[in-house]
Amino acid sequence: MSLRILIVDDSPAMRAYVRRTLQMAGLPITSIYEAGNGEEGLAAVGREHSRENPLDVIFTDLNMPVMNGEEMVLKLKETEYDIPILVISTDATQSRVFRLRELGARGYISKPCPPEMIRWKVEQILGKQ
Amino acid sequence: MEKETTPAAMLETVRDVLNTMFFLDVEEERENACCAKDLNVKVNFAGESCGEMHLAMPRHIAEQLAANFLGSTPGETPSEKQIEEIVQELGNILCGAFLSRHDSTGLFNLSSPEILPPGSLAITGMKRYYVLEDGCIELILDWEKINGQL
Repeated sequence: MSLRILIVDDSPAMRAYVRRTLQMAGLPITSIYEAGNGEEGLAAVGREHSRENPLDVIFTDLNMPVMNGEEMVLKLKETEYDIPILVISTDATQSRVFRLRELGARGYISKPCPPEMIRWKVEQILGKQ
Repeated sequence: MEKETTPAAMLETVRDVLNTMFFLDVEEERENACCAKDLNVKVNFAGESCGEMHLAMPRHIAEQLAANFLGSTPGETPSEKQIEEIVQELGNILCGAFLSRHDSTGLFNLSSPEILPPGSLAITGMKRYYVLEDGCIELILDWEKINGQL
């Protein structure tokens, strides 16, 4: 199994944190793609995802300029793509978490999040596939 | 949240954030301390609560935060750009985590964190210093709750 992952976050620091965590997790990752907002995220999905060569997980922040994470998740839900989405956000209010789960996010990681949490969530998703 | 419980709630948040993602321990919290303000960050928030949070810290603390966050190896120094980005992210995480945990009644929106020029006028509000092994971080929180207790 080889993993292809997309990280969507307007914070370059946070993208680096998630990327480093994934690389050090011992997971069989072949590619990590990055996007700075929801619109770029959708473009990346369009470019990098296909039935033959799918993206395996999308990590997304919520509060981003141009297009926020919730809008991106909603737009992905309207497509035929069924890519597992993990939300990483500082906003862990119940209403927001519930809303994202309703839209189809597979998991919600609230910041601060230790590296082990990111690794565990990916393993959890992979285990279910 | 009652105003008098804000410092304890913020201390809990700062400890958790610094420990979990920056691998640093807060040794103590003070109301007064001497703290160089080489890097200054501001985050605005709005919603059920609104206000501002400012962070300030000496350069060597900012470098340490950045190195720990990135998992830099010894001898690997984060760039100036990385240091600023990570300090901004610290502001984002602290503000969001505090509001989520201690004011979970409603939604909130955070502004993009902003680096302030040195010598910027400080806001008034709850001010605390979080002492780490090699220095400290100054945090000022100025907030009001719409329809609430503050």
